[in-house]
Amino acid sequence: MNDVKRQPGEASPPADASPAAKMRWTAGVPRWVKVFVITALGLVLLMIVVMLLSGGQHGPGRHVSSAGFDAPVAYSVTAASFFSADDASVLSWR
Amino acid sequence: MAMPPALRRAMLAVHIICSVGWLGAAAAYLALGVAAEVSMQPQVIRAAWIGMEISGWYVIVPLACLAFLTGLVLSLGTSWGLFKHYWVVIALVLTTLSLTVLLLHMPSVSALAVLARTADDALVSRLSGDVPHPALGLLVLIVVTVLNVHKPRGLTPYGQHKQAKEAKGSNKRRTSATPIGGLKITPSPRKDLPC
Repeated sequence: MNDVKRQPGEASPPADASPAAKMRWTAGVPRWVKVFVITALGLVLLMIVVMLLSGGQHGPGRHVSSAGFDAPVAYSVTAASFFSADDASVLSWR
Repeated sequence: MAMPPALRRAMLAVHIICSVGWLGAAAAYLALGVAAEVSMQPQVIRAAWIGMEISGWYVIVPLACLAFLTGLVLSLGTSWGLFKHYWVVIALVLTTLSLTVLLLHMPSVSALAVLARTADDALVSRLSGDVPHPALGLLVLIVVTVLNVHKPRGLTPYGQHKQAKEAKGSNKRRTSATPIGGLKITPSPRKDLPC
């Protein structure tokens, strides 16, 4: 989402900005970018760990609990076609 | 490639409507996902999954696609560019990621909505909700919104290169000004150019 856009001239540092302020616009990778990237990588790693700890399952089958379920499952072929092999085993006919 | 101001404002209005609409629709989807997660009543779970499918395909997906496209047009049609500023690049990456995950996830939502419509109450009551996807999506959209409002400074190496090139070209044009009526025009330094 790129909502409110400034006027074209504002994409650059202000004309009356001090030399130090202008340097901050152009010098190296800003600190906020580094912090942002490190935080994002940490969150992605955390998500991977959580997914692995929860059995590594990711798909529609995850939304169906099979524990204690022994009634015949009746659902359409359209729905079943979206499930992977792992998911299908979760939803298999008993 | 600068857009005419009227077109830019119109595009901006469409972009804000779509982006804010996407955020709101994602919040509504999350509410349905939580309802399906916590409820034990088959009717509630069934209604929630059907609602998630309809709102997903007919509200969230169109709004997300439009927000993405108008964002691209606005970036390319103004001096912000697509790869000149770190905040624009990060917003682009996060929006692309959100849209991709959304489009990959929606077929699963459709499958579960079909299951919710056709299965008996015993199976439907064992369907859980859909919380992680909309919750993470909402978080990413909030981050993108904050980036767009705050516009933190920082030029990418490509942006610095482009800016230096533009400044150089502008200086060249000014120094090559031809004398008029025997008077040599000495250009005054422009104040609107960055160092």
